[in-house]
Amino acid sequence: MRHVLGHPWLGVISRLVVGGVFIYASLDKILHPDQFARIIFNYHLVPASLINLAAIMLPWVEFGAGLFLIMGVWTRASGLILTALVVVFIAALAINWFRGVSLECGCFTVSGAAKGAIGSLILRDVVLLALALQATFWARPQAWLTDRG
Amino acid sequence: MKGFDWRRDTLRAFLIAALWLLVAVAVNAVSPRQIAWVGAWPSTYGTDSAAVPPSYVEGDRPILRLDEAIAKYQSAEVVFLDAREPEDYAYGHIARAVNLPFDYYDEYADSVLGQIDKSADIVTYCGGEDCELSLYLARQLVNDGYPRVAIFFGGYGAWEEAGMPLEKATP
Repeated sequence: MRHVLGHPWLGVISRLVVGGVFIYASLDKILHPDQFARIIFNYHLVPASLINLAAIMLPWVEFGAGLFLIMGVWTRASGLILTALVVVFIAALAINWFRGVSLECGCFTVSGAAKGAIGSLILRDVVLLALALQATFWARPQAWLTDRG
Repeated sequence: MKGFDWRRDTLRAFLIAALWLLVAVAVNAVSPRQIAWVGAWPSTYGTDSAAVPPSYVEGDRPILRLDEAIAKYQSAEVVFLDAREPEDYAYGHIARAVNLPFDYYDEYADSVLGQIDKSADIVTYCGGEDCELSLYLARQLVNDGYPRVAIFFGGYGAWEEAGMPLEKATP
């Protein structure tokens, strides 16, 4: 098991997938902070005064940590950030699932059309979480793709 | 190259986050798409939240939760405006509510709004959370000089579910 989890190629794949997903996910939000703020508001989890700050900052942290993870700049620290973000996203979705609030995910796009069943969104995030954990905690140093820490 | 080290990597994670937070702040300071650092969002935090229409934007009129709508309703001064089609209104509506169908706003506006003072407290509603006519009507009303508008997004559905007074067509 440890051998599989620590396999160098699995680490590379995890980093590319997790980093790529987060970079891709950040772009639309970076371009439309006003729309993303509305989506955050709809989650009813962030205090009104902090909604805009979250909308301004979160996409850039997603982008930056995703970029560093792929580039191998402080790989484990970047992975730690993304792991924490996925955990927060899962919690936010689960809370609203429990509340019965219908919401836009705001995961990849700020367009209102992107509504999904919350259960499947959580499932998707759990897969992402597994890859992020692998990239952060089990990945071994790689020869391919630089990996500094 | 070692594996994960909690102390080192947590510290680095904070440094990375700080770096990109600075980027975020810098971008928002100069971007043509910048948003206010603190937005004028209605404070529904920590409450049994009111759902919000998908196309709700910052600066729109406040959304009322069911309990808030009931509280307003019980102060006799408020006017409830039903934004749905006349057929829906005829089938059943919140008792005392007046029909101002958003889709026929121009036809109805004069006769309905003629009865309503510009400083009146108004609550708009429509079918419920799959309907945004209440939001559109609220925007229209603000535009036409009625600033004291709120939106009861739960609408007819939530009102009926709560057992609040309705007026229904007799079958």
